[in-house]
Amino acid sequence: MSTFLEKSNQSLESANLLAKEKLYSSTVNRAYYASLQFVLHILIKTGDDKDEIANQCKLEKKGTHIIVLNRIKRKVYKLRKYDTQYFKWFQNALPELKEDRNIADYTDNVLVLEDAHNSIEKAKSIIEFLNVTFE
Amino acid sequence: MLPLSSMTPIKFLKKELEIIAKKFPNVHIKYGFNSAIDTHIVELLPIEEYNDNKELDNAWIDVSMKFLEAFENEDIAFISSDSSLKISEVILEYNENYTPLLFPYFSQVQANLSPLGFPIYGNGIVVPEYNILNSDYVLNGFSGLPAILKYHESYRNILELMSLDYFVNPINKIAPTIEITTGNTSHAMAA
Repeated sequence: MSTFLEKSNQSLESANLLAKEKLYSSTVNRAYYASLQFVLHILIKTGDDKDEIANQCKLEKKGTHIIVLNRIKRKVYKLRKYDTQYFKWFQNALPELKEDRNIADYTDNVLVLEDAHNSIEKAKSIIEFLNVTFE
Repeated sequence: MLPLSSMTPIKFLKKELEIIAKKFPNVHIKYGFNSAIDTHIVELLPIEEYNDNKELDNAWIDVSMKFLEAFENEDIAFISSDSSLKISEVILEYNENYTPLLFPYFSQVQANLSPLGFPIYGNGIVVPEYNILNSDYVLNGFSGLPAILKYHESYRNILELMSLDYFVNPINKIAPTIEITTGNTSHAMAA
């Protein structure tokens, strides 16, 4: 199992455990990272080099997240294996979850069970979409 | 025209969104940048167009991919009103006075059916019972002949009246087209 796949699985498991403990902000954080780590797993599985991704981030002075999200959307599109409705959902789902994580980590908003539940479901759906697309 | 390499993301989007706006005059387009998540956001309204207009899908997905190819260190999302992402500050906006082909305009359509000579039953108007079927309006109570008001394939401010067997035999249109504009129905064209 690749490192990022293992990390993604662990993050998702953590998200579920944190939700049970009513630690909702941390749940959203882990759910987002579960999906991001899974995206990294897919990128590497399909030929991207993790050092090259790291170099691009350094060169462009941008965070890993943006560059990784940009790459995965292009990869999904190029495969042309998707249903348009799912693709429309997918290209939104990642930034939406990213914003949820921002709210969870950097604002004083109080998150509730529903927020935690939604983030876990969104992360699972993103992972499932990528699994089906790149199987 | 500037080569892509020398364009900024906003210049690129301005050029591309203008093209989409001209092609889809009934689509309200807003663009903004969400700095919290470092993501360009384009909102397409109304949501019915975003959900069901396949030509619009093709147009914006193409722009989205060209954008991601040209700017590898940027992200973009095309959303509609159901997204949790919101544009706090609108930078570009097109077709803000668009005409949504929604229920408020239905009465105008009804009012113009009779002069076109369609057999209209009941109290003289088309019975306003309808279902939405892929963005089309299904009219019931229509001379025992259910019909569909269908968006024109290219011009979304044009409605076409068709029999239900249109989907079996697309040539079999039963009526002229009806153009809808803001305010009053402008005119009807003979088939």
